[in-house]
Amino acid sequence: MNPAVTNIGLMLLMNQFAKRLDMENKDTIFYIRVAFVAMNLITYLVYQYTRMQIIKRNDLTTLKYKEQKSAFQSMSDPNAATDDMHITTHRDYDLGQVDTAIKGMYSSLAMMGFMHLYMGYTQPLLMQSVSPVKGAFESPAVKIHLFGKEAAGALKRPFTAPSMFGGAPKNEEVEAKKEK
Amino acid sequence: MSAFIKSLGDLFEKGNQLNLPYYLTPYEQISEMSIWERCKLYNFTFEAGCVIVLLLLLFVFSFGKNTNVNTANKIYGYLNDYLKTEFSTVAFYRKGENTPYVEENSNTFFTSFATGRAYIESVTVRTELLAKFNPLSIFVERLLRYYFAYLFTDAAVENIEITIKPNNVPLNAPVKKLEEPLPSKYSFISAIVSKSCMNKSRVNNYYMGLTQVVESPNLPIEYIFMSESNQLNSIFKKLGSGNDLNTLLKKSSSFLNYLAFTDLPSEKPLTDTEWEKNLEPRCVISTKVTTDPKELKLITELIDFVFTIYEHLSETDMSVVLSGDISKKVKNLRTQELNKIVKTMKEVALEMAKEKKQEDMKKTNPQAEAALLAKRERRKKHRQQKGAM
Repeated sequence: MNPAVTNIGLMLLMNQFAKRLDMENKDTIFYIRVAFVAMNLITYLVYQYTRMQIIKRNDLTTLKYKEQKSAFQSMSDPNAATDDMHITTHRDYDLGQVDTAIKGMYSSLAMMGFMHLYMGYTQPLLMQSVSPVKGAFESPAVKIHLFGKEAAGALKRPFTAPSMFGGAPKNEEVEAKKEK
Repeated sequence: MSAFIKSLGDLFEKGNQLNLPYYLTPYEQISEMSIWERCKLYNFTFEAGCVIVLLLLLFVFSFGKNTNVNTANKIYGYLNDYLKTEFSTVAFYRKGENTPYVEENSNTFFTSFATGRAYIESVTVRTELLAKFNPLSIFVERLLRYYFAYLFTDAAVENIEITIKPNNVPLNAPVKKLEEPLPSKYSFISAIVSKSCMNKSRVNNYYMGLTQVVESPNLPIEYIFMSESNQLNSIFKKLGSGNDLNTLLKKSSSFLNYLAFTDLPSEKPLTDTEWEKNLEPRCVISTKVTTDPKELKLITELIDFVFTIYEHLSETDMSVVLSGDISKKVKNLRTQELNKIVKTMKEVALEMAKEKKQEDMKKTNPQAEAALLAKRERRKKHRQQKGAM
């Protein structure tokens, strides 16, 4: 199933679960904190292990693709060409994907830290306990290097974000050339 | 945030209270005290802390500076020794002393130069190092690069760049030959690039962005060719001699970024005159910073390899390097690029002229400017209405 749809389903489920918990109880808060830290730790370890596997495999196959600029980049330099041709290797591409995921994790941790420690909300902590692990196991790089799936079909590089309503994925990378 | 400000306030309060007994002592009583007694009464903890911080900064600064200088000494010590065996003049002579390199930007840029050799006009060795004397700026920059990589266009990594310029003058050539311009057989782009920095090389070097990327079984797996034409890839094998190139490249894979022959500038020229002015055939060897003698020896072997290519190129007929087809392709590419630059130039000039005209009109006749704006608005509305119909 589409990860975006399952994410929404998971959110609704966790929301219902959170409603049944006493968020004022110190023990409950402690267990939610433990769950959040443990899940993020697992996610981090999964990414680091995947990183190790990518480096170990050292796949130097060339990969060429075009990447669309982000909204911020387009705003800062509207005259620049919309697409940038990237030439990299499978190894560097996969490492880049894992690094981006880890960066996302850090941002999420900072946001949750602010919301929980400063604003005093506990519910988001519970919601964000499962999402990182789910995201990690759904990441194409993890699927290829941790579960040994073949990099073909949906896992073909450059990876594309699946469309939410099952339509054709938004293919931002148009040209992918493999050479060994 | 308020908790942070509160704790900061508490800290300042504690600092103020350090000398509370001293400040509470009446002035008359302090006046009667000797200097030693006053010193005993005064709490110097804050001042001592400041001195420790200053000493720490001084230590970090001198440590970082010395680290850079030591790295440069090792690199230039080795490379200059090698260049002395090839060139008549190596490094610089300043204030009555031989200087192995010139440093800029507080020991972050180092340059050395060698000239006086058959076939080669000069060799310039540039080393860029991080400002290790300011670890805080390195940390902040790394942090920003990690999160906002797209904000940085330059490659903030330490590197050694060796630029070798040919002169097409053999050993016993007449002096007159030195003044002759280089023949067009030197004007081509062909590079061997490490796969670890393919994209970076293309982004940072304008000339590499104009090439085709081709993987070849004739190269070690760690490298690819980037040339204007695929046929140019063979010049490395055709003209290079001495050590086996593939073995050399394989051994250098841990530090070599690229080895590129080019005549176009690294930065994109903005005008046609800039383009003409910056046409300069040369070979650029870019490597990571290394002080390992084994790796420095490999760098000298790479330099030697480039020398042999230029030697053979000088003695080779134009058709061997740039055959009719390749020559045409190379010329076409340059014409296209130049045309693009000229087109952009014209657009910019037209835009500037328009702006100037508008400004002049504003100054001389503000009513005409308002009329012009109203006319434009009417036209716009008219077009919109037409479109809606």
